[in-house]
Amino acid sequence: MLLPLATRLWIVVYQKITTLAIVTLVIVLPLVLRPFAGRVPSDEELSSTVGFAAITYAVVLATGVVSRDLGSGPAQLWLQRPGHPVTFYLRRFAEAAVMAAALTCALGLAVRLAALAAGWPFGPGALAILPARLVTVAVVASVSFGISSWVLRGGAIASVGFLTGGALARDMLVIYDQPFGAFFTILARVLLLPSGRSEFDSFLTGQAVDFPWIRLIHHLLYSLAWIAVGASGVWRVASRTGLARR
Amino acid sequence: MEHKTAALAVCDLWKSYRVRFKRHVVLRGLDLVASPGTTTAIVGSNGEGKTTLFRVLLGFLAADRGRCTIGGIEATQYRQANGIGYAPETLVFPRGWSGLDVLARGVDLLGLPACDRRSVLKTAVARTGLDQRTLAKAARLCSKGTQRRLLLAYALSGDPGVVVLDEPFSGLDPPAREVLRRQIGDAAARSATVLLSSHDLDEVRRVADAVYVLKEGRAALVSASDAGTDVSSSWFQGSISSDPS
Repeated sequence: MLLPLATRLWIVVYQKITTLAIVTLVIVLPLVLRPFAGRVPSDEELSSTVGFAAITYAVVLATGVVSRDLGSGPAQLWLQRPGHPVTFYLRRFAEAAVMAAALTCALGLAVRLAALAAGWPFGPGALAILPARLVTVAVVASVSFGISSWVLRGGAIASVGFLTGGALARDMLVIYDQPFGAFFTILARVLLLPSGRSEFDSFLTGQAVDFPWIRLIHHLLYSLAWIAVGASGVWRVASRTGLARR
Repeated sequence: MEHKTAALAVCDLWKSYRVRFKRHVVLRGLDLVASPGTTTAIVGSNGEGKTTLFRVLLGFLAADRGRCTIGGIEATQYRQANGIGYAPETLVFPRGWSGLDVLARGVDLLGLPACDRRSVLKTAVARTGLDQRTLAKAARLCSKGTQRRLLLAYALSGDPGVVVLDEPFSGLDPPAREVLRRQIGDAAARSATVLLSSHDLDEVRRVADAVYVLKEGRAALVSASDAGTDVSSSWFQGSISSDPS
């Protein structure tokens, strides 16, 4: 390839470098300020920071993969070449998801190094759960891609709304056992965000022996379903409304 | 490299936009034919639908009615299979991409064998007439003329069988225009179907083999002679005299 994959991946990050820098600062700042308030960040807080970063990076990078191109016109540049728009944008989504995962790993390592340097209780187990955070990246990035392919304006807000609402509704279902009957509970579990982070964490930190295969399959199927939603959104735009917005 | 050339035909094309609850019909049963090895120009006032026609032709906008075919197949299918060289009049280049990145990505997307890519990129870079330093700059920060050169070189890279150029001469200095005229001639000479729009009638006279005037959503062929274009028809003059630009 004349334009190396590494350059393309870097451009994916560079295009949103300001947003990424701001969200990273917002996520990390409470940790940095903690010692000044006379408290050392706990292991849990450090892990949550990485988890929250995973969600945020995935939303930032996977949103607008389609709408950004359509809004300002680069779609006309890329899609005059041979190939189907769905294939093209699926590849772009994959690049965004990979970079969200890479940034999450980078932040995880940075937090680990900072914890080592400052003497915070960020145990090696906290790094072991990084693969679980990558599953989160896959789910969140898929949801963001799926939503933003259909909601071409305000896709980021819609994604954040769905993720927040979905997580809240999921937790409500756990707290109030089947509040609207069994059917609604099953339907909600299929549509809402999959849970099971603690099961992944338990296995990865050695507290549980059995790998949560069912949970992993649920997460993967859920991601695939949202990728299919995103692909159908691109297909709709390409075949019905048109790729040129400006 | 193999170049797939094909005739372009637009038949009874209708396209409308909805602007604030009101439907605005831009193209009203437009018919047009462009043959391989010729340069067909489309002229008309602002807002007559030249860019809309091109976008529908490329499948970037869906038509309300009618057909656009290239080589007998739907234009969108043709584009997805072979690609169409298209230079829009304006385009906001993606953030973070240098001119060279854009050209290189464009060549990658052509799906050529690895051995051909470098030479195609080299030709595209030469077509821009820009130095390495300018090409290394962020494309969206370049001057209008530089961006035009990039878009035209991008569209012509890989020698596509169908070339669609929207206002190709706008923003170019006289030497660059001369080079572009030669490139359009070269494209037609290798049997590509070249379709362009322009407000510059002198340039149209120089490069076009056939001229269509777009007025009230329809296209009228005003000349198709090889000897040169006849741009003195009253309809044509009437159309252009109402053009403020």
